Amino acid sequence: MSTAASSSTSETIAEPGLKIKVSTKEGEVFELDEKVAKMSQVIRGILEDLGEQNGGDDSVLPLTQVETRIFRKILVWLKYHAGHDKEEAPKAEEDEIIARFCEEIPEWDQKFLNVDQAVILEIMLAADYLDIKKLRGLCCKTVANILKTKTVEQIREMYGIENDFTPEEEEEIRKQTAWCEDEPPRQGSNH
Amino acid sequence: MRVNTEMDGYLANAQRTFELGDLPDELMLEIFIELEIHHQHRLRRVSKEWMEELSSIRLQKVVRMDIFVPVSAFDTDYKFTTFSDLKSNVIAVRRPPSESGVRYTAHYQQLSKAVTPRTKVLQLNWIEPTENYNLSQSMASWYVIWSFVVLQRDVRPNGVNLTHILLDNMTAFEGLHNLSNLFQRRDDAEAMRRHPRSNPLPPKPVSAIAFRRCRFELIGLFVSFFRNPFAYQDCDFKLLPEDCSSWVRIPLRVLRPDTSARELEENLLQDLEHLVGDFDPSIVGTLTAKSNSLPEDAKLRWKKELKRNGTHYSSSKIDDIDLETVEWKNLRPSSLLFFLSFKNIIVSV
Repeated sequence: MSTAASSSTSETIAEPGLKIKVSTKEGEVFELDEKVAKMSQVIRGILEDLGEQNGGDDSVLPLTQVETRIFRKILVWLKYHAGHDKEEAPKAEEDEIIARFCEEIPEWDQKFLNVDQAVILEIMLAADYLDIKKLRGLCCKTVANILKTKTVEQIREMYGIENDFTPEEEEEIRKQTAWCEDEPPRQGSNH
Repeated sequence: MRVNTEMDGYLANAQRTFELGDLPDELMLEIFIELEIHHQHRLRRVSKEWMEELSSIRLQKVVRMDIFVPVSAFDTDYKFTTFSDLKSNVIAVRRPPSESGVRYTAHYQQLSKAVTPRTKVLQLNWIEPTENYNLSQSMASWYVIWSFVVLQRDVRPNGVNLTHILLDNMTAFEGLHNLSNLFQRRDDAEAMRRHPRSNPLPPKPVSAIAFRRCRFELIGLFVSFFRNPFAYQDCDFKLLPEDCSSWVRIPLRVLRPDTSARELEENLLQDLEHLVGDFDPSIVGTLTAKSNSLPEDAKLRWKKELKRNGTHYSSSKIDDIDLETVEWKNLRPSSLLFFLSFKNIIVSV
């Protein structure tokens, strides 16, 4: 089994079958296996539209908002999961939440997302744009897990957020939310 | 051809270091919805923008909460006698001024504020200070989880739309049976009768209950997920067979409304048997000797259990079952647990 750390991205996928060409913001063209490409609901939708309109095989789908360096990362994820995940029908939002609850972030994905937070955010944004729900959810959960371990002050510092509350306002919020801030002790919890 | 000509453009400025504040509100909400309520409230102090986003009513759709009720505060030396005694013994967990009672009350108040008619998903994470719960503490922890779910869903009108229940790290003492009952509560006239003023509308049917890292006390085999939790109250058990570990954890199970009580039991038995593993072959001799020494009423109880759970005896008449010829090694581990734990009959059947 390949790992996130060792996987490399190739612009040309060698397997036989239908190939889908996409281009990144910088105009770099990637040729993807159809199964990999269709993990993006946006690409899937366009291909279906093209199919109905008898679109040509030479079409290049421009992903004009995704930078090459981020798309290379996403492609690693897509290729790995295309080979390991079962194809599932789209879920209702609540069932999506259940699925996320049932699956801790898998080790492979943890390694994949063990990158600078700015990169996680860019992957999340690109996954949102390409409509890759699972990847977007993994990114959100990863960022949420980081937030859980940080104090308010650390979060401000980490993300360069200015404290725009007056001391009085902050104290008032502290009072308003006191009912909920009684954090229980945690031992060995991993959610 | 363009992928999307109406793009928001929020990826357009990605040359500089990307920051959390650059995310669109939708994604910020998706991150915040992953947080437990005490984190959601704690982080409101970050900035006015965060305050606004973390106050969004859309976050009410999913309520996640850590629960810490220190059940170690009571009955650390509890010794099992009867099930009814066990039940009465754990009632105190909900009563202040005990530490556990205070915690229980605080958590309940938090939940009551957090759950609204918009809430569809409730996730409760049981935070435990120890792995070494005794039976009384185990039951108490389950009692808290169960009461929170039922109180939020079936008693408080705010929880009327809760349909998805997620339980993390729970104990399953007597719980799975009750969980499966949640699916049948939509027309629970009795519950409505008990709380007609507080809950004029019946709650929506539960769509799914997921539990992960569920800690399962082996005695739960006899009192938990069987169709009738009191089916074995005439039996006295030595609770933990010496050859078995006292706890097993079922990593994950999702229950759906179409899971029948029998299917639930069967699924869980398979999980348990996989986790418990094989018994030492010497137990066959133990069981043969034990069955020979049983009084008549106890023998009858064993035969009933064989008929209920033993594949070879399901079509047999009780009177036709001969305990001396039972091939114990052919029984499944969960059935063996029953006979291994069995001590005597406390009420004549």
